[in-house]
Amino acid sequence: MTVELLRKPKIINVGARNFHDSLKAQGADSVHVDWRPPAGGDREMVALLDKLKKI
Amino acid sequence: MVTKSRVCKGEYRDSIFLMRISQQLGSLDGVQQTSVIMATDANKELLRDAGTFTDEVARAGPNDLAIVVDAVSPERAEEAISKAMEMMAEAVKERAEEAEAVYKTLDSAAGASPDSNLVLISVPGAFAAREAERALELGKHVMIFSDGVSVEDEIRLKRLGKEKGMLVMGPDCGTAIINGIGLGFANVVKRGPVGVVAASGTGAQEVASLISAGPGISHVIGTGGRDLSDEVGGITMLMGLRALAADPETETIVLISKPPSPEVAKRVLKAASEVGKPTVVNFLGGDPKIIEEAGLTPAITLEDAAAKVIALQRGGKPRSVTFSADSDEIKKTAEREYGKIQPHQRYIRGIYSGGTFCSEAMLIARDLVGDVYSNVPLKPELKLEDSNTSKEHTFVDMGEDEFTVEIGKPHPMIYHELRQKRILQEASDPETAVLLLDAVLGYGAHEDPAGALAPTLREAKKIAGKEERYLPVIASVCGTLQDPQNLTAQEKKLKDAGVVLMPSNAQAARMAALIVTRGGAWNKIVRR
Repeated sequence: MTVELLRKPKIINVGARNFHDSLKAQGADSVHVDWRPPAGGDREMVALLDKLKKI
Repeated sequence: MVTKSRVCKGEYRDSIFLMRISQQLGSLDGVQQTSVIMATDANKELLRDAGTFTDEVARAGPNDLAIVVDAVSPERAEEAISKAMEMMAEAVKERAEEAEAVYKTLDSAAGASPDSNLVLISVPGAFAAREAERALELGKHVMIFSDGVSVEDEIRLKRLGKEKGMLVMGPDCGTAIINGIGLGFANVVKRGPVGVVAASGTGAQEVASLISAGPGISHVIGTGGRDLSDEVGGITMLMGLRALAADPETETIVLISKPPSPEVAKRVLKAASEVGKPTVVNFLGGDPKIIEEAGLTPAITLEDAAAKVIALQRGGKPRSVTFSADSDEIKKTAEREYGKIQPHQRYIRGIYSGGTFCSEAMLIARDLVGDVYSNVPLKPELKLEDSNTSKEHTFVDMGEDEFTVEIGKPHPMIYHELRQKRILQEASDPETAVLLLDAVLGYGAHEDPAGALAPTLREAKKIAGKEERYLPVIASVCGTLQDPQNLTAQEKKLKDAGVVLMPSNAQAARMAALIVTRGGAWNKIVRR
């Protein structure tokens, strides 16, 4: 499974925009996720939502 | 002093972006302290501790961005706040002009880019495992840059990754280079036949940069610092080794880690010996015997690992490096420096941004000058009582949590204020004989570390000079000619400030020892 990765990494960047910009500057294939804390950063609510998703 | 704040409701920005704004505001005239943060409970606590908590911030929540400025006058504080608002607006405008698709969630990005194969995660630690798990479920490899992920989550994620045949690099994986593409904090390296698997970010950067000047790098796979512990069992290092074994571009391999648990060491060395590609192993400060017994080549330092793998790659016999320049030149440089110091200047003060550099330098210095005190000591009894106050030979890792997250400051690889203060503090101490430093280049790092350090180092020399002391400064720069900051340009800035530049962290530590012992360490160095 790693063969494809080492041949050509295609990246999804989740978080720091700076890393996506660096990847682009290197000519890498990268898409950026403008991540925000789910459920307004309420961790208990996040855990609950994740549980619901799995049902 | 006046404290002013502004809260931007519902304005989430990533921590690296916020650090950069904070850093820029800090350099404005009349500004003493700035915090540009998300108003989480933990961050509010930091402001309270710093005495810069305001009523406005008290009312803000974790999704609100707070700009807090401590300045000499209300006008100066307002100026700084306006500057921050401008910078944020500018970033928004830039994004809008780029017209590039930006996604709200990992799932939507994966939907739009179905053949993506690696997810780089740098969200706050509390949410990183959640994103990583989703990435693995989607069948993608993962690099978790974030720290603050529990070891239980790490084990769970790595087991899941193993089951699915996916690499989980990290958590707390600062550096990886995949087929020439640097991820996180990474140097721009020449492509070549040497593959690296490393449990240390700066360790990987030093080895990759040095090899880049020789045959070049195929890949650097990061594992995160806990991978080779008993609990995690080296899952990522073993998978990384297998990946490099199967990779046709990789002809020789380097493994870097702190000494692993004996069980894990055995497993990793056995796997490495079965790969069938010449392999150099650096278990920093560990026993070289077990490596030799596995039929592999041990290396004592990061530079040693680079030099040995370069020799193996060229079909030569691996030999250790002590100094690159010839003996006479080294002795002359050391003499020139120690000839000017006073008898009461007796101690080395190492002020580091890279944790592995600090450990490596301590291991070298310990054998040449004796005990070294530290906030990350080699032995518990050598722990500094107060990390802010040096004692005898002291090497400080300024990247530790106590100097960064715990006081709300960015890492010294992107922010120099605390290191600058510490340098001046050591310069004022009449017992300081040598300052020893690192500077790290590459993507992710400060855009001009030498430019930030040089004025401080000039000032440090001046402080010592006023008291009739001469202050030698020894440094090494980790980076390549292709890095955005350019190795040669960075080295020149430091040289122009009177710094003795050494080609590696290990050589810098040896030079510092040579100076502080007035040449006495020479025989020990060449005997090794």
